[in-house]
Amino acid sequence: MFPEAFFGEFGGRFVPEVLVQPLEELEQAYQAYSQDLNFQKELDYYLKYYAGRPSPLYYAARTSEQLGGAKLYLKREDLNHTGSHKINNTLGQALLAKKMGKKRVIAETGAGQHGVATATACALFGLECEVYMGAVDVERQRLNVFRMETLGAKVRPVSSGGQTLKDAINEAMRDWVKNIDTTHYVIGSVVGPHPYPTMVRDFQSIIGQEAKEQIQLVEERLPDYVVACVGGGSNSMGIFHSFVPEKQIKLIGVEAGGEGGDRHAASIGKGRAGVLHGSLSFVLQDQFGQILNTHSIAAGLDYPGVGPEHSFLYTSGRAEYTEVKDEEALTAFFQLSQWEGIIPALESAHALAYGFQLASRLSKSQIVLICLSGRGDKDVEEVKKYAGGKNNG
Amino acid sequence: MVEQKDQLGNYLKNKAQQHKLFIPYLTFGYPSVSVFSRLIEICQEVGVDALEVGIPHSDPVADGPIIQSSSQKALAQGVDPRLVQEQLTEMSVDFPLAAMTYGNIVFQYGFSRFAEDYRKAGFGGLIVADFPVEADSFLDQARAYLSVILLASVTTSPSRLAEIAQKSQGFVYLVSGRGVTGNTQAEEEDLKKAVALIKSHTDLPVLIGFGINTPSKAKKVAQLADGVIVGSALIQVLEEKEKEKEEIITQAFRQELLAYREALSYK
Repeated sequence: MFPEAFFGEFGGRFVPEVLVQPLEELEQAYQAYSQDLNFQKELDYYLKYYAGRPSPLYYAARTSEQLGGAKLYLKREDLNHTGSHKINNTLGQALLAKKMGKKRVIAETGAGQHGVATATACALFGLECEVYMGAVDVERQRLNVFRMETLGAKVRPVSSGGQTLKDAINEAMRDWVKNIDTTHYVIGSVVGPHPYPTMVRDFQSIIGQEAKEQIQLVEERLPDYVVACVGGGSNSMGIFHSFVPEKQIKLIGVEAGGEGGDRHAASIGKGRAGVLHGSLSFVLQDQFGQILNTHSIAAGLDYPGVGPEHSFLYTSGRAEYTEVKDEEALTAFFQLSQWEGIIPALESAHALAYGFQLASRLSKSQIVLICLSGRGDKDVEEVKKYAGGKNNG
Repeated sequence: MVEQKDQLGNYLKNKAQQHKLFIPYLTFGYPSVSVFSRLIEICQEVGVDALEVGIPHSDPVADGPIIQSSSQKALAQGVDPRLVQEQLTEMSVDFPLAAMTYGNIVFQYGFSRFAEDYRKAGFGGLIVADFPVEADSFLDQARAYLSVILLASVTTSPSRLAEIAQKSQGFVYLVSGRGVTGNTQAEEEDLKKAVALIKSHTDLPVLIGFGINTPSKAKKVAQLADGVIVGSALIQVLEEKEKEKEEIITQAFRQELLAYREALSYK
């Protein structure tokens, strides 16, 4: 298979023949537009005036003081329009879809953040939008379903399989096969067949580009550690990408440890190489290659696969991956809320939990950069259910 | 690695001289492992040219709702690739079998070991629904023991069609329309063009599959090529009778199979 589709041995384009032609068309369009200055200018315009970029780099002074170790900086993706990093990718892909002459956009969503960001970009560019969402997720994320509908999107509940994110992706792929002439499929993470892992990373890499400039401006040096949560892995690839060539900087991806035992979503930590949703990467599966259902308190991390570039960063030793359990993420959720007045998304709380442990072990001269990928308003109900108020300070 | 001499291709080329080819698809272990064995016997009695045996996968992205549902039910009964191999080793079947599954199932088993074990169980062909021709570094590992059947589609470019025709063994599986199994409407002209292009690069039979749901449609579509593959329509007959006694299920299946065989008996 063609080398540009791979990160080391991972990646590729393992799809039914009917999807090869639309993926080639997408790859060509993406290559052309990613080098087109007018396209870049137009996207930059929307990122700045519509999404609110650049997002601030915030020195979490009180938290750093509480922990008594390294200086903690937060990249505030939670302050973007729609409340997470997802908008960086959906603006890029929706604009690309429009340039390609597509009238209709489909997407999958787990927690609903990517669905909302896609519905938003479609409303902005006048595209028809349908979002596939597992029936279980539709039930537990009612607010986001209503947000998508308010934005003019249709939400299609998926009742096959485990009725969560992985099944929503299956169904979106089936829709795409049937409607390739009119439709673009906006995948929400750095997963899927080539060119998605590269394209989504590129659209998200603005996170790391900005953070690199911002930290140099205030600290006149680069951080020692960059920490981000990893489900499919788009916010982490986005913040890692600019730092990958700086070999002295440690990159740490935090996967969902769930409740421990079999109930987790740690694809790199507990999975092995396999093919899921069009690419070869680490996958949670049984001995025969059947894909397992996963668990995480954070719906956005509740996925049995991971982007192929993460698998490459892991096996090549450039990045480290670790796990944080539901309980630890919940603690960090309340800590950041009460120390800084910032309610983080439960996904981001995984990165925070590890970042806090790390910072407290380090000296005051060191710097830890954490990607705060989203805000936690969407999670308050879920947190109330889990924590029952026991972590209130 | 020495390739086996495409015995499946030679067998089907011969059969195609006599009549239009009829290859049904069945999900292994659906509606149950024991009824499935009976269905194979019926295939033998009615006379199929080959049988596609689906090895169920948890995430069958190329399949429509009917085959998805049969796969899930088979998995729930504990069907796995080893059981498929063991069960079919025990049965004697007088027509060729082709395993139809997804890449991760074969990848985990090991492509070469899978092909060797399945060959011993009486299989002649392998279809990997989500591994296109570019995945040949994997698919080639199976060629020592099995004929690797490649899929083509009406949306496939002429240069890819040529490559697929040259690298496919057994037959060329042309996917009608732009859909998943069980739901497509293809333009006749598109199909004709694709068949002609494929045939200019290979003397293997070309079979059309996906979306063929009545014997009369099978008869019509088969005119465009060497024969048809029928999957979802048969599984649906089984599904409608799923809760009935074994005789009722097998009788309905036999009737349906006979209707297709009859519709395809012409040359």
